[in-house]
Amino acid sequence: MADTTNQEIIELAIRPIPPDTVASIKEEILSEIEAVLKEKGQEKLLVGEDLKPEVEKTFPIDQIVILVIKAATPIAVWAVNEIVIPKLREKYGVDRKKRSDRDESGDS
Amino acid sequence: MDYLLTQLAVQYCVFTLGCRKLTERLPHLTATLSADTRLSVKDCYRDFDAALADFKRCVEPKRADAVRRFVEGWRGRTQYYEKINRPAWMVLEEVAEGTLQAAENWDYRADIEDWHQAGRSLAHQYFAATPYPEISRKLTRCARIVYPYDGLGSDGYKPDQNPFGKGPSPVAYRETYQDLSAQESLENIILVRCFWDKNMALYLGYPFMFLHEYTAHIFVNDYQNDIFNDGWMLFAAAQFLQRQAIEERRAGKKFPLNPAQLNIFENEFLPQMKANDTNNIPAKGYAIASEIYALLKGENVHLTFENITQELAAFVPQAGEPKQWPTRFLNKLGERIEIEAERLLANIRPATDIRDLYSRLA
Repeated sequence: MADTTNQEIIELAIRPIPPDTVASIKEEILSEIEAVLKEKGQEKLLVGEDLKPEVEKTFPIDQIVILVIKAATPIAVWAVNEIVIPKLREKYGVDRKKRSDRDESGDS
Repeated sequence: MDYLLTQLAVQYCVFTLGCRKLTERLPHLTATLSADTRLSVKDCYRDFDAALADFKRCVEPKRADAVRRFVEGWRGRTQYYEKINRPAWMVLEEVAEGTLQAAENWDYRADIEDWHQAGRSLAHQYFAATPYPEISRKLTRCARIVYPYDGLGSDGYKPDQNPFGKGPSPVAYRETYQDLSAQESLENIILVRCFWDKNMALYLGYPFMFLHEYTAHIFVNDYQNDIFNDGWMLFAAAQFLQRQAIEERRAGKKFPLNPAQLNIFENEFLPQMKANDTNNIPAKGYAIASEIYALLKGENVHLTFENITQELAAFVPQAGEPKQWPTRFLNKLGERIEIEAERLLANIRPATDIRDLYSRLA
């Protein structure tokens, strides 16, 4: 079983760069992640679900793709940061959601 | 997670409260404008949206003050109605007064939850008679609404993004979600993104968007066949809503959505979906569904539009079948209906299920 103490969920906004489209990204991105991990000898991370990528399911009027990657172990977090994201940046516009602290409740 | 930071929460309160009060009075407003050749409901939306836009830079810290300021701005924009169409102006005055009166205790979470439950309930009705255990066992699912926010405006994306512009979807479903500030991992989440540029169309669209999340993603088997989940199922949901509204009206029941909410998909979202040159798949799936629906309407066949929909919604890949089988199937239907609709109908007539039909089309 995966060690979940270091689990991290990494959220990426992927923008298509023509000729790619939102449709082509949604169709290909998961197999592209699988391919790059295989190329680097890290495909086992996907088998054990140490690294689980998921494309956000939307009301389809959006024009970017939100990719959520659950990295359950330190090696999976490393693989996302050092292998997956650089590979995606070669082809797409990639913005990573940043952490920030909530300062107060919304009621006034 | 379940709440927004103060400034955006005040904005979202004003937005939901104003929109709710206007939505409640829309049938009356529409009646006063039905014979008016100078003023239309669209003009009222335009002025309302403009007042919201004026208000988006407002940083009133107190909800009641913010609501008062919004209403003042909106009244200024609609003052000219009094001379053109006094009954319509009076309806808007009732909306303005109702908005002011409700300001103190308004809770945007409760308001959005109402529409969430309306959408979920309609999706439940859609699948209530399903013969497929793959679907029926999911009908107890109830997602939790989360308002993602990270201090930049909305969920880390640019604050000025329009809900129907270049940004992420205003409503989205996540099987898993990690709240970054609470360090908490959640399941079955519907994200409601709070854009700064909010408008009446977005508000009217919430029930349909929630209905879609359930009929396309939460209650069904979703193997990311977008042509089905985000295309075909949008047509199925839109058809169902129209049918259900008529049936309930005939039965003397009150339908939970008004005509503006009922038609918002076809009037606002479908044109945007068709014009979206970066993702043509949902529009393609919608078009195939619409053509198959028309082809099979009134035909005495086992494989009706509804049966095809239910089978695809319950699809589980069998040995040797890829997860993308529904995409292949719908692409095949799309090809055939384009070039030989009569022959396709001849193939559908004897077909017992979707796999049988696919084998006849191969």
